[in-house]
Amino acid sequence: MFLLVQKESTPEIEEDGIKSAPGIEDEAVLNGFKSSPEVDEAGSRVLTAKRKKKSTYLKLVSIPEVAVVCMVVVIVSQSQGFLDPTVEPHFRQYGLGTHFVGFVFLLMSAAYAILSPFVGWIAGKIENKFPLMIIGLIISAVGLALIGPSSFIGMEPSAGLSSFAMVIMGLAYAVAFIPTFECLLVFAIDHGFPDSVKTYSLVSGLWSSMYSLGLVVLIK
Amino acid sequence: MDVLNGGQTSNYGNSPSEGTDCDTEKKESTIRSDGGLPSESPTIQLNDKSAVINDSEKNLNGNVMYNSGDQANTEVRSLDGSSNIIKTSSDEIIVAINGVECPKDDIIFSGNQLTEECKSASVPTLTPTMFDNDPDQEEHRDMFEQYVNGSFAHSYNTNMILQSQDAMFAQPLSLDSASVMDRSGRRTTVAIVAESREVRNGHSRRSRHPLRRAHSLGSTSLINQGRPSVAALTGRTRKLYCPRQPPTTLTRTLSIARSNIETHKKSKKLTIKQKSILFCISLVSITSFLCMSIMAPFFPNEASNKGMSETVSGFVFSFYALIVMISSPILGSLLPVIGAKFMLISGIFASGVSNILFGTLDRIIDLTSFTVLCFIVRATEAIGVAAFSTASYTYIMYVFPDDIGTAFGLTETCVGIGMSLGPAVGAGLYALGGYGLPFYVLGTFVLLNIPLCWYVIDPIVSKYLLWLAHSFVLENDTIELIPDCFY
Repeated sequence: MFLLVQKESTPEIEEDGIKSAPGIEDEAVLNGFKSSPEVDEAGSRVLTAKRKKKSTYLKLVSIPEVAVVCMVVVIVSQSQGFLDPTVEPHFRQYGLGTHFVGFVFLLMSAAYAILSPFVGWIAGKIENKFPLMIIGLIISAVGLALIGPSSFIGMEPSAGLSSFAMVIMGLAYAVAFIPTFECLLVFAIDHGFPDSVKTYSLVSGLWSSMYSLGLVVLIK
Repeated sequence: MDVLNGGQTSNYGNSPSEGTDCDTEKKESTIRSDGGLPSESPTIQLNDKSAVINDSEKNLNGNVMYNSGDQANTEVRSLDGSSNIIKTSSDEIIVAINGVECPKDDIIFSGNQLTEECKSASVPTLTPTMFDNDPDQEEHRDMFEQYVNGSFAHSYNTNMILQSQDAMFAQPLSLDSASVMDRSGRRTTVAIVAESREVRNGHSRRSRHPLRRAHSLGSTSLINQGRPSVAALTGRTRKLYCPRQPPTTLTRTLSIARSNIETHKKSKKLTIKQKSILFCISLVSITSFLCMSIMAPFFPNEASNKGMSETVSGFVFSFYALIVMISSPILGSLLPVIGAKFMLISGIFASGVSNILFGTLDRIIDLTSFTVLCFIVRATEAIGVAAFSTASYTYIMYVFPDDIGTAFGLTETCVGIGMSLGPAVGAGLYALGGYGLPFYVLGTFVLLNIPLCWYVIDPIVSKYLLWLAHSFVLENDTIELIPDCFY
């Protein structure tokens, strides 16, 4: 074992011809620990942990892929929260009452709830989950354009169209949203975070936070 | 052939009683470089006692075999190149997994690194083929569990390493191991595998970064859920698969390995444990998000009756999201310290109690104290929800390493159901029993989840320091063991 040979805790081990490559030090930093092995008289290993850098959120978010996925989470949750206060006034022009609006929201949630496990299953099958998110975002853009409907579409506003758009939105949320969770973990581990509970909890906290950030940003 | 491995055969596992390490000669050898290796090849110090060059007739054609020095009773192992058996005087330990395909002019690493427990367990003959056929053999599992639990998950020349759930091995190292797998046979993390027959990577999606994490020197096969996306530094194929990098050519003939990529038979059925945990988490999600959304239909009216302006009552809703946003990262970093189960249950408790408390707030007449208490109780509920959702997401990643997406989708379904049914339930209960009833009912439902979760869900991290130490030690080894030729 190399570490029996080395007495110093320096990662650059030149003696005995073992030169640590730059990538190794990177890994040490990324994993959040800097090690300093020591050897006692009996030859058995004594290790003292020296935490150089923590596995922090800053490091997690500074991973480009993670940042992009976080943005997706924020955007999707933001548009999700955006519908709550705006759809009800919009449906007033159709004169259908609040119960109908509640029903439309229920349809949207049902679409989301039904599609979520399937999307999760598909997301587990494919390696790259970005296409899934992109598709979800595109669908949600279409849905948002149809709810009004937007003027460039040139359709007359109707209750049926708006309800349909809401269902579309529910589907889009599922497609865009569900892969993000696993994505965060994959990218974190890809970039050297240990596959441990610590990383899981970091990722969980980040995801919840980003989701709520979307809801908060909307309100401001 | 003056060739040696990358230093894996050290006296690493020697017991302190064998304290003669100090005066044993060190022997230096260089790794043979077949062309592409850096010129400054690592030299390795070997314990002379432990480095046994076996030039018996069984050791074919100048193969050099190094054994790390174990106890005196384990004498020179002879490598039978064709039958892949290494014999010791005491027990028959099949540790050289490389024998079958062993070419005559190649290197064999076999640092025997069985610990005392393992030796006393008298490792039976575990031929790799045996292992392939039935990776879940109970007796081997028990045996190695004992071994692994006793020490770090370093195993050199063991046929399999089982990662038990109690021991928090962040990255079990396996040198010369046939496989690294855990108790359930599913949750597998692999690290350094030298000359192993196979590297089972249970969740390729999660450790697709094998050059950092799963170093496989000359593994014969790399099992990665059927996808050859993880790097196998096999000497024969001389190809390096890594999804993030273009395939690199290895110019080093290190092993006897063949590229033999097999399909990892992922068990598709969820275990009962997994199902029950998923059920718990789903139930908690439904009830909690019901709680969160029940007040939407009637709270603005009630608040305006008390004289609260519409902006403020709207902010009571949004305050929730704000608090979750702020508290969940903090709770996420606290989770390994205080434990996932504790966080889950205390979060459920906090959200349930504060939900019940929210039902009593209409008795307050004074507007200022009503407003302040609204915010305070709402904040406690938000912190509780942040705590349990962080913990439950952690559980999802931990319990369903192969099916994170599906499990997460199912919990999101429950969240969606809770959110959508909440207003209806809230309005109905409000019509029945006034302001307090929806909160009391739902709060009680939330609290009822606690005994269920207590019973069903196992704690993940019980001893943070132990876990920290383990993860540190293993990471340290990961760092130290990687020969520079791979970078």
